[in-house]
Amino acid sequence: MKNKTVKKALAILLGCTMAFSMVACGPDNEGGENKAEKTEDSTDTGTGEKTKLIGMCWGSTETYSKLSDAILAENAELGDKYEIEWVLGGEGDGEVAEKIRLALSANEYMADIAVLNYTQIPEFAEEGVLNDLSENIKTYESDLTPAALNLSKYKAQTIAVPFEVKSKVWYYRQDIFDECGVDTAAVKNTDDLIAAGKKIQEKYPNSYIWNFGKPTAGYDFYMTLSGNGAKFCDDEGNYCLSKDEGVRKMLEDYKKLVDAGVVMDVADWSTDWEAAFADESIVSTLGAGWLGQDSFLPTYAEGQKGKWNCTTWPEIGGTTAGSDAGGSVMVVPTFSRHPEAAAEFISYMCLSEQGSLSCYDITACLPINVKAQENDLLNEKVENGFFGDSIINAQLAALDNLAIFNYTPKAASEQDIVTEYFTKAIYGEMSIDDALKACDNDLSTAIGNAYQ
Amino acid sequence: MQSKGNASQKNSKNSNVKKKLIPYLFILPFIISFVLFFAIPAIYSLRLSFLNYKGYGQAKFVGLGNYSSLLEYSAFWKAVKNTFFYFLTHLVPVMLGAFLIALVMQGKAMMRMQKVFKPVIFLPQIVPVMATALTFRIIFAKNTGAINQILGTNAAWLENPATMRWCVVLMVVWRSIGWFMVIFLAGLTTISKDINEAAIIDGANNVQIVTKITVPLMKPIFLFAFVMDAIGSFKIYTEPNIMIAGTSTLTTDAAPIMNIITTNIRGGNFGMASAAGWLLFLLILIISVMEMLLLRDKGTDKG
Repeated sequence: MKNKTVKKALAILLGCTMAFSMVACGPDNEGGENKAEKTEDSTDTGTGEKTKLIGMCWGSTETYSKLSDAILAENAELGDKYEIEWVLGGEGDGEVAEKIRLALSANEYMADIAVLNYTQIPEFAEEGVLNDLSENIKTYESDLTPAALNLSKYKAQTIAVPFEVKSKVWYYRQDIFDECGVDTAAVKNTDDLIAAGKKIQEKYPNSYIWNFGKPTAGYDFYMTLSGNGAKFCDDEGNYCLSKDEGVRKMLEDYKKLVDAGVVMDVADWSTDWEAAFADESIVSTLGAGWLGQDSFLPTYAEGQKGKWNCTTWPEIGGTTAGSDAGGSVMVVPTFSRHPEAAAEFISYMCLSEQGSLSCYDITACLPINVKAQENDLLNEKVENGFFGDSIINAQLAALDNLAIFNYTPKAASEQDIVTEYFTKAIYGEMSIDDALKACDNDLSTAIGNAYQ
Repeated sequence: MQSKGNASQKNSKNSNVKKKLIPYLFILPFIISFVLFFAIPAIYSLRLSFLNYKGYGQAKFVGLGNYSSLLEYSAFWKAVKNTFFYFLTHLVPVMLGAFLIALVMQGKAMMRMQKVFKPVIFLPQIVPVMATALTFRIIFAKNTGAINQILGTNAAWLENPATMRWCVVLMVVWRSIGWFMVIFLAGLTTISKDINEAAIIDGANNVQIVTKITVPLMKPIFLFAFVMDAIGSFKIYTEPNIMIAGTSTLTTDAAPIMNIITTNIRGGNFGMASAAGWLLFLLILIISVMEMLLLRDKGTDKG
């Protein structure tokens, strides 16, 4: 009897705990009050205490910490008001997006500032979970490049502060190109690029002008797609890659490069890739501005200092325009405790002349502010760099051509699906037609509609 | 007298209640953690699997929509195929290899050397799977890999769909043999030496002893090992992802079911991720039940 009572009591207890938890964990269908919306705000420095802002980034906090320390040291007004702590959201931008989703899901505070790639902006902007930054952008608007202004917007909303504009840059071994008689200025399109690759291979049979791994890095495709106006879906969100001329043109040109044998089948970030720079198997690569940072090519190809040069991309896939994900941006999510303070700080750090120069000094990213772009500091710093002044010149030249891909709120899932089919298409494992049809089919099955 | 009797009756009742409650108290920490960290999340994920929900904003009820989408999704079926491939191809070498090594270890000739060989064979299990996968990635690299350097070839082991999964299987076998060897060794020690001696007196040779005595008596151990292995194999994730894909997305030619879950979580499709999780659970359940039916001791069941 007692035994039954104990069992009953335990069962009721378990049932109650589960029911309570289900209610507590349940999605907020009613769009109820968001705990995190209650801001402690803001620039409440009346007591003399500094406002502490938390920023979330990916990769490493070191650069961001250095940067914010420099900003707070050089701007006494901001230095008196704020202190900044950077926390790591994960290895990549996708993980920061995941953390934001979790914080939104739990209605909890996570950080005041989040660093994202523009790829993730449509998802959060469509849901209205990013604070409006139009007033902050307006302050610096006249000093910003059109590319930077584009990065701050999604449709009619101004919700992001551009941090790094990722324009397209062609990196190549000047010494080998000279030796083989290849002039990059004469390389205007895909056919010229193939001809250049063939010419180099006459003297260096095991050298290549680019690399596409299996799978090829998504950004290799998107850098071209962003420039040639490609779209994965129509305005209603129905996937239609098989009808898009931009996607087809990109695949045709990439396939041409693979078929010509001038592209090495080695994946970015692999052991072979790093070794290929060192042993001169890869003598040129088409990437974005960030690839010129000290931690990449200068590390892999140590000892080749001064032998590399940079220029803008030739026309591939019908375009010289484009970008890698547009660039990285800083946003102030709605769960931020100090939205105004966060907006003020990131605007100054990324958009002001002084902030922009500090960004360049610490990250080597091209300054967002046009006055900063004309500053002598740019030339002083590059003198000792791996690429000389060519990297800045190439980035500045590419800036006029910077275009952002038509990302949808489902961009992350789309990229996972299309990248594999694109790789198969350029390597001839599937025909372009079949690959695009398969993309449409899988995107429609796995995602449904891009906007719903 | 009567009051004394009542008191002792009360005392014995109290001690009975205590006796019955104490075991529950001992398992209460487990029950609480099980409910909080497994049962509730599991039930919540079941609920999520019927919703279109990205973790915030509006959740839309889609019924069995997520399940039907998955069943129509070609990458899901490829993932099922790959998962079965990893499960089936490693099963025989791991189980047979581990059992044979355990038998050898238990033999008189190896008794003294056990202390050396056992830890050596178990060692791969201690190494973090991430480190092992990265090491194998370097070993099988196309241009700089040790295998190609030794063989003087330039084979794309990790890029070619025909070979990439086998590289993963090789690593899984290398990692798992030690673990199952220890389980089988523990099982072998439960078999009384008297039975083997009796068999020898009856004229049985070593093969007969193993096939007619050891294997049948080890059935419960085999059942445990097979079920544990099935659960582990169907949840395989780190090995192919780190070894083949590195930092990029793993090709569907090698991606297991877990990739469907993680990809959807990364894309904010929590409903689809939960549905894939439940389909994986069903698959593991079916395989485990099948293994239990095949390996159950029918004699004991009847008894």
